[in-house]
Amino acid sequence: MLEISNLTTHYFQGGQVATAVRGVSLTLNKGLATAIVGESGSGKSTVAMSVMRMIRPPIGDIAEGTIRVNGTDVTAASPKRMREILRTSIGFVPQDPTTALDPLYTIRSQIVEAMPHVERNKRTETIVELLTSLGIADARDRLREHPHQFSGGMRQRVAIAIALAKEPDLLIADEPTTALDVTTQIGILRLLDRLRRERHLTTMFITHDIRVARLVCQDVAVMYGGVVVESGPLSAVVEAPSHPYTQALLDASSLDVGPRQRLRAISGSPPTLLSMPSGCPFAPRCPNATDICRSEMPATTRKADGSSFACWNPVAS
Amino acid sequence: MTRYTLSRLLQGLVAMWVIVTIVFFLARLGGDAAALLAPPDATPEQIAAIRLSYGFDQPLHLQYVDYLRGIVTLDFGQSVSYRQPVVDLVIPAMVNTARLALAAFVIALVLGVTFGAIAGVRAGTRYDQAVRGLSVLGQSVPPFWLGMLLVLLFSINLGWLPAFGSEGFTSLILPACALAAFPLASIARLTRSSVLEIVARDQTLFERSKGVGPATLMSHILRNASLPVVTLAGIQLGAMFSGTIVVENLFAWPGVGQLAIQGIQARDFALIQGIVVVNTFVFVALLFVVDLSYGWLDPRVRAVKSAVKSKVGANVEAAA
Ligand SMILES: Nc1ncnc2c1ncn2[C@@H]1O[C@H](COP(=O)(O)OP(=O)(O)O)[C@@H](O)[C@H]1O
Ligand code: SF4
Ligand SMILES: [Mg+2]
Repeated sequence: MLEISNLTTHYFQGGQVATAVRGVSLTLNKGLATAIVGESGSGKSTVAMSVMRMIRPPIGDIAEGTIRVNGTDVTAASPKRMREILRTSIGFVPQDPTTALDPLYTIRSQIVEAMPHVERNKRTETIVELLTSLGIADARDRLREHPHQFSGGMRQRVAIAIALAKEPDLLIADEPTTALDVTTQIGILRLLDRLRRERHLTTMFITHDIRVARLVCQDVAVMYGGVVVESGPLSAVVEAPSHPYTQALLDASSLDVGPRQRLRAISGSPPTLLSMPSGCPFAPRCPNATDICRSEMPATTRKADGSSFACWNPVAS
Repeated sequence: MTRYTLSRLLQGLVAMWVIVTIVFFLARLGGDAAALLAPPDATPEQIAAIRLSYGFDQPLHLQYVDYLRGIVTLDFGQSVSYRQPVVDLVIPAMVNTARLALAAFVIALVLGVTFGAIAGVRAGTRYDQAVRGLSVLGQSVPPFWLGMLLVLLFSINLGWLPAFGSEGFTSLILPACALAAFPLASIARLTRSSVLEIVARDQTLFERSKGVGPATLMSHILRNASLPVVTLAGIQLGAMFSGTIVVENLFAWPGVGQLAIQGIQARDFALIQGIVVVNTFVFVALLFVVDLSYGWLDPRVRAVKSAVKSKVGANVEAAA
């Protein structure tokens, strides 16, 4: 379904080339949800934007690698072919529906744009059905309304409707609940999980919160400094993490911390793109770091439980 | 939408009334109006005659009622310098000014939005740099100087277009161009920066993620980018209606600006008052149109009632 291999993506920041994603390889299993987890700035959104070919000069560019969507390499697709792939195969759920929907257009016209394949006289019915299935009760009466007339949670349902209107094979959700009220977050997570199961949607679910990933995902890829440091079946990675960064993420979010206790934060901060260490990006913050970590990028090791990691001195299990 | 229209209309009428009232009191409370209007060497008898003919001897409230009645019935009195009803002078002059202002406005809006939008989408390219450079130039060239330049080039050297007058379409071209340069440049600059801002927004990324074609994408960008441009364009159009004096004089264009200067020189009280009232009306009407197009473009502007509705919706959802 989605096979990313050796992806490297640059941004052009004021004359300088900043590498946000370095040699990422990742395969999403069909019909399953893969979490991309990591602190802010680790390159998660850049991977998603690369898949949709949203990073083009003068903003940045894909420097290397291939991204196959249903077998087509999007890195080699013309703009026209790319629009066709976006129109038919990839649905995108944004982080903040309030800024992602166009405030000047009706809900109906914004959804219609994403369903060119549906016959004109069947569009209203299709939209009403879709919105109703997404939990918007009075959908038919609200088609002519504008985004500001909806609440945050309902707005995100409209955005999900736009992502689904094209009946995609791949759904990319970039922090889809971060901007929402806590009370509506869980509803949206349940909805995304249900949609994946019902529609066999291969889902790329981006989150900085590994606890959220555990609720809706089956696979995981942990990113740090533009690199996938550990990936595999979510249960295997959570039960026996090998990479010190995965371990640190799990510690920071561990569920047995009392409610009033502050979560333990990972000490130090992620590297900036222009000061990326030459070896393992996590070395400056890693408790296991040794000399080789600082000079050489760790090789990838596969484990028996189906997961793999990139580290010279993995966590002892 | 009708409620919005009505409230804007009411607002416009109130604004009109307030301004017209201010004009009334400014003209009468600044000392002896009759003495001001009279020539410097006038005898007391002549001043008394002026006072009588304008009704300045009447109680103020009666004058005010008369004044308002005159405005409503389009009766602004008699011009002493032209010996004609003021309406018959002001309306044709306003029509001439409107022709010129609208012609300049169409040029400024169409070219300004086109150049600005392309520059915004192609930010950083040579085309963008050219548009930015020309905009700065267009905003700093005085219309008088530009007008002379145009006359020199197209009338005197090339002989293509008339240098002055108001006969036919061709005589409109040069003054309209001279008048259009400034608003064209400012509309182009604002459109460019507005388009840049919209292109960088999440909503444009989300729109692109649908896989829509360039035409659809561009219509979303332009409609969003047009909101600040509409406000600016309205202000520019208003300024052109009242600020064409320089260009009107240069091209001998018989508009309101010229009429106002003649009225002031002749101390023609009724004429000046009539011009001010008609100008006010045009200005208020323009703002009304700007407000309407704003409401038409942006649903958030016209929806006060539904804001309450969606708040209730949010509460219901939070409670569920
Ligand atoms: N448009 C951009 N121009 C330049 N740098 C960018 C841009 N977008 C993101 N970056 C940089 O790329 C890195 C990765 O960003 P991103 O992929 O958004 O991370 P994440 O989604 O994991 O928070 C960050 O250091 C960020 O500053
Ligand atoms: S490679 Fe070295 S620095 Fe990097 S995570 Fe492993 S032990 Fe730490
Ligand atoms: Mg992100």
